[in-house]
Amino acid sequence: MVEHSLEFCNIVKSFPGVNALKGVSFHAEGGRVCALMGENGAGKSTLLKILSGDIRPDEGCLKINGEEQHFSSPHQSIRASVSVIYQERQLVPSLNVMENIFLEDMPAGRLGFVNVGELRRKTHEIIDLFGLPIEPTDTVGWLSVAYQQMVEIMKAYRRDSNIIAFDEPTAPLTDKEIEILFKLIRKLKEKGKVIIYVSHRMAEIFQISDDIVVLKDGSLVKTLLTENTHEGELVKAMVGRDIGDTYANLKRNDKIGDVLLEVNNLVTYDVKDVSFKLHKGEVLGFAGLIGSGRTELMRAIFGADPILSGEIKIEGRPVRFRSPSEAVENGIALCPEDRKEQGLVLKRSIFENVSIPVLKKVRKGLFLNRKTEFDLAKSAVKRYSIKTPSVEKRVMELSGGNQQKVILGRWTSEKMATKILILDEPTKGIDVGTKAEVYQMVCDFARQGIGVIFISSELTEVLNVSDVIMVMHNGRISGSVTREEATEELVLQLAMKD
Amino acid sequence: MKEFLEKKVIRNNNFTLTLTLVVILAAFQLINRNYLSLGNIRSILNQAFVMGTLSVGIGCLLICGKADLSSGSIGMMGGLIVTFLINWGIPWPLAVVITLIAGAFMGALNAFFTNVLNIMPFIATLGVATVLSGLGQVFTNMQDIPVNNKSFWALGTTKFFNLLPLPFLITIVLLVVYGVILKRTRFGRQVYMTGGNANAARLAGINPKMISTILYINSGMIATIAGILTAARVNMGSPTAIVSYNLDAITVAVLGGISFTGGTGSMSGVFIGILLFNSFKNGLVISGLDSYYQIVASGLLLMAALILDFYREKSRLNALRSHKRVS
Repeated sequence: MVEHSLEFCNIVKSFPGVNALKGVSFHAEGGRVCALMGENGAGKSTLLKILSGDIRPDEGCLKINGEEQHFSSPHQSIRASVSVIYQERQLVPSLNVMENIFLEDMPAGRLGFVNVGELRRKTHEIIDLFGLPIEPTDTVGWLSVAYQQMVEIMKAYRRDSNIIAFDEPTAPLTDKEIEILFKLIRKLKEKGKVIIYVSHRMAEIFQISDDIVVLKDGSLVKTLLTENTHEGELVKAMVGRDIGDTYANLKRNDKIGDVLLEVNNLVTYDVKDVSFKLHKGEVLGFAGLIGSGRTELMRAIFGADPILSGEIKIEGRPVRFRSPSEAVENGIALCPEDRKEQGLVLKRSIFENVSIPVLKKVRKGLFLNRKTEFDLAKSAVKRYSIKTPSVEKRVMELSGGNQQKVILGRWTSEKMATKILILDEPTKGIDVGTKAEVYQMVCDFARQGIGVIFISSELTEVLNVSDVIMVMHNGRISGSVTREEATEELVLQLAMKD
Repeated sequence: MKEFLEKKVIRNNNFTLTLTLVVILAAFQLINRNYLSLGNIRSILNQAFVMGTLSVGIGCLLICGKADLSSGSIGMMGGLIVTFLINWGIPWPLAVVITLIAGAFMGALNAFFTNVLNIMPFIATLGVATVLSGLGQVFTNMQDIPVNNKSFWALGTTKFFNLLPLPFLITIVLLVVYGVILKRTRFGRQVYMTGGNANAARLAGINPKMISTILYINSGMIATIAGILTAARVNMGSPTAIVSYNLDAITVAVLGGISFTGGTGSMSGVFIGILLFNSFKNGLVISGLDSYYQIVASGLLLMAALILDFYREKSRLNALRSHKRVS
């Protein structure tokens, strides 16, 4: 049996304003499962994307079986016998199982037509090997998410890839399906393949992996042998970092007022039975893993997604918004996670983006008053020191941090009477300096008596900025802690609770 | 200097378009010295109003990020309806009002398919256009139907200063009114923001479906105005008239700098687009080319407009990419 191996050599990758990877090196051997762990934003996905040839590292290289590789496209990565299985499946839903498995490599018959008999036979072999109850002719789009995932894995198996990486493969699977997946992974392991396994779930890591590599803020912090470690050590390695003075110097609000927003037993398609209270002048943090239902919860409260049952009260008055415009009229503002797609109209100017929700109030008679609009935008630019030569500049020409400030400027302008401000990952993709500014802004909002909901996947910030932290897991609130009693270990355990 | 060029020339459509218009006018004038004669200018303006009227409605929709391929067909239906009503003895002003209401209804159909049934605007409006064109032929048996009313005729043939036909003036008024609505009112701003990013607009408190519904109904009504004026000018309702403007109206709007992806453009651009399109088509005829070449020209202009739109969009995207932040 050939021993395969994969080595990451001093991989550096930075995106404007963010150092995603700062020189990561490690070695994964064939016949072993190497688990990659770290918080959101630690650099795991970037590493996988480099492996799949999706992006190129700024420095460093990959070595496969000792040979240096520089992928410049996914195609080259596949040719080098690498398969990366992402959370978002890369299948063609309208084709059937066998066509997907053999997509780039259809067995040809006479005259160059696809040899369907051969195709079916080969696919059957693979399906039988995996022991799955599906047919080669099943349309992939009609299969459950779990089986689609299996098809993806069979595709990697069919390519006979020597290096197979899984990005949170169990997220859509049930326990029984996870068992099947693990059986497959063990089978691949026996064949001497290199397996990279990314997951947030502790229990799984201990079940399936042989080695654990822990990443943090783009650096490798620890390599562990699974049999020699335990959960506590792992969590500590994942969170252990210095908390700078940023948080100590925050000017916080110390007068928390009456209940502003009360949510009781809220149920939507993604959120199960959620209840919480937000007070005036409070910063309520929402921690949890990506996909834990935080964004969906907020969208439902904001009237952007349908609510199935439950009760929402604002200042004691029951409300149920049918559209975001009703929420805005009632003093709720949402800064969405994806500010380019959902927050801003990038093609339009700063002043237009600031005045959208208050157009009624900047009118003089029938017409919009340009001067009032400009003044509104100029005051936002001044207040948040947005770097721009003019308020007529299109928002797409601003940097990420300044774009975020434009949205904040919109919801806190003089004409808005925002009572509740929902910030969904407000520091995402923002450089460190601006992050600190945003934290102070959050506290300032609270000091003005606004109730702030602060969603963040970065544990350190959500723990240190919020007064109370709600932790979500699988669409439910799995616990809540105050800032004083919160530790990263505690919150991480709540967020990963199986 | 380069920045100046990019900003003032490539990005500023009106400047480029006016320049192109001047070049076209000059070129055809060299080919045929009668091109810029009073008679021919009048004939260009006479043709221009139909497309002009239609592209006011289409322009608003495109800015809102929605397509409408049915305006010519709705206009044709409008021409037929007003003809039938007048021939039944209904006074022409009343007939016009009823036709406008019918136009609103046909526009509402587009809105229903796109906003309630969530069918892609392109497909939905193409479907509506096809059905209407067919119905027009069914109702008339493919015959043109003369209008028996002298005062209605005046609507299409009155001229001011012996040069400006009334229909053209109506188009100008529509362009000005809608230009002001778009640039200066709350509704207009909401149209731009919805077209720029419907998701973001919705989360900022705008109701994008309501905006586009209003615009579809509006576009239907404006299309029937074009139909009514055409019927008045030629004094008959025709099942084939102005159906071909379904695409031409879009060409004019995109040529005039309204992006296919929504969120940008203006009525002043559309105005120059109208003149550009019609002087070009007229120029071909007057240069002695067979009138079938007009159809070829329409196609070429549409492609030119789309290519121009693509490059404008690309320069915007480049600006965007250079500031992209990846988390």
